[in-house]
Amino acid sequence: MGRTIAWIDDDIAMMWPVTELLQDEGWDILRFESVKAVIDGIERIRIADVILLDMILPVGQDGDGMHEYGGKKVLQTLRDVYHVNTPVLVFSALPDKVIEDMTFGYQVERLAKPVLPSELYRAVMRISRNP
Amino acid sequence: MPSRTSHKPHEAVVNTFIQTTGYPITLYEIEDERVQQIFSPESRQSYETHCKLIQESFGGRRECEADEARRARMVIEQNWQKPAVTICYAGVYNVAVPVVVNDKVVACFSFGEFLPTDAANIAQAIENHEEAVTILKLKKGQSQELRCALLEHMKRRTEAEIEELMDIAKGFAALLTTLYEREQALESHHESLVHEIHTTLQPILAEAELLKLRMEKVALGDLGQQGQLLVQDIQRRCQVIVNSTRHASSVAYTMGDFLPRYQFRKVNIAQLLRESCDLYDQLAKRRFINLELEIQETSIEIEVSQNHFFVALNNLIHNAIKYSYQGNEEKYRYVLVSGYPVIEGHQSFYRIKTQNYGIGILPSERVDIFKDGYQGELTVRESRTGTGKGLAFVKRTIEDHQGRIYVSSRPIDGNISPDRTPHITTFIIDIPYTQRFSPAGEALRLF
Repeated sequence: MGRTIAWIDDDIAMMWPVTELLQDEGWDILRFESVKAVIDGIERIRIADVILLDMILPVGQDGDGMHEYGGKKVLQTLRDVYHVNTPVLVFSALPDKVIEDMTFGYQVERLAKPVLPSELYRAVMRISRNP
Repeated sequence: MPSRTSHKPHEAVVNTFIQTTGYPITLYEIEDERVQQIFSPESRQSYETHCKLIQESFGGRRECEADEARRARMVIEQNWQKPAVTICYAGVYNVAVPVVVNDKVVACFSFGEFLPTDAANIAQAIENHEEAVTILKLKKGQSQELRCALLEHMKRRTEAEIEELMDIAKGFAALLTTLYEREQALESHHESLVHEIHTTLQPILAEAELLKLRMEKVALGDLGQQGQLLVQDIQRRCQVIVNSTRHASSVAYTMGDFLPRYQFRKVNIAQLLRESCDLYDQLAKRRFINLELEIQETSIEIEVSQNHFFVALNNLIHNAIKYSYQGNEEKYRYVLVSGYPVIEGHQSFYRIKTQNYGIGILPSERVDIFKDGYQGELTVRESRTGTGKGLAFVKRTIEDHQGRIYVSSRPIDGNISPDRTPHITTFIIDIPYTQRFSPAGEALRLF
């Protein structure tokens, strides 16, 4: 199986150009645009080489599991509930201090949005289980 | 000491409480693991004799502040949800009132100096007093004087009276809760706005870099070079927007009375200057002004509250451009921003200077120009006034960073009437390299 990125973000369309360099190198990008999609696809996420996680995920309507979920909750769920230990790269436009608080206790890499394709490429290659 | 400039409304509440009740009051918060004390000078006048003796006569102010901070930390970290009576290290009782926002204690409110009337509490007070005598290394006479102040002159409160004190405090705690809630809502709102702006810029920046990388691989001659310059310009402009929104996102009302908290961290000061100049580069070009930046020692890092400091720099550079010469002589269409280290005695400073030719400031205004709302006389005559709040903010920010700011302004040609000729105006900021933001012990006095 080739190298894969599990990308958890509600607005992947806006971010898609950022992944072009990685795609050129043969990386597969698996998209998860809601918390429900994350839970349904947990086994694919588990075997991915890198997780990209947007810390601002929307609260949705009751019934689809998105209510009150945000990036922090997803991180907690991945690590503490499903014990997924894939390296995580956190994306956000939030201030550093806020991200530090939200990810406290979890080992993650951080990239501040907006991010250049070359920055994302270097970060993924640095933390990937399969660079 | 650095102050959190958002405390004007909190200060108003504290002062109202003191004026209304006559009780001294101290408000505490925890920020970045430091306990910060908000303390009005009016409070000291209301102290009981006992506390005045310790703090003013027996040199115990530091011990008192450290003890207050320790008790405040306990209230905040243990997330007390209700007011409670506490006792200080010297045997004085007071009421600690938590300020709770979203079920979390964000601050704590301590007031009142009294002795309860029951024997057990008085015994505890005496026990603490004895320990304080040792801690403060008091002589026999001093110890006796202090004991007398504690047992003979300290206000006595019954249980019912203590309950009344707590009820009064709850009302003021509710006011403070509203202030903190408003502040959090503002910060959250701005964070959301920044997120929206950065998300919108994301595909532009990404496509710009990808285009640049593609053009570098293909020999396109002059057209290719122009294309690369265009792409670089787009990238730079987007980055300026990103930087300015990133820095300014938590500075909600920078010139008003409600300002967010300081967050100090080490920052590369040369980088900050560059970003600030980038922000105003286009404005300068539109006004046909040559904006030049000269930086020495690009590696120096200084502990600053980046958001506030960035806005202060922006203000100075914007003013330098705004009040610039608008005549025909090109040599006066020039703004210089420079940064370099200076040493005075044993102290190292990083000096930031802005210099322009333009409207100028009269010698009589060199102090008033930093006052809130003051508008320079020469700018009024030229009908080019601002809000009058910018320089007041700059001065406050620089002084809170333990720095200093001063201005000089003189006519270029001294023979011509000083209010006509262009002035060369220089603002100088000196920021010390090594600032101490906390004394030994924990509490910081804010004003």
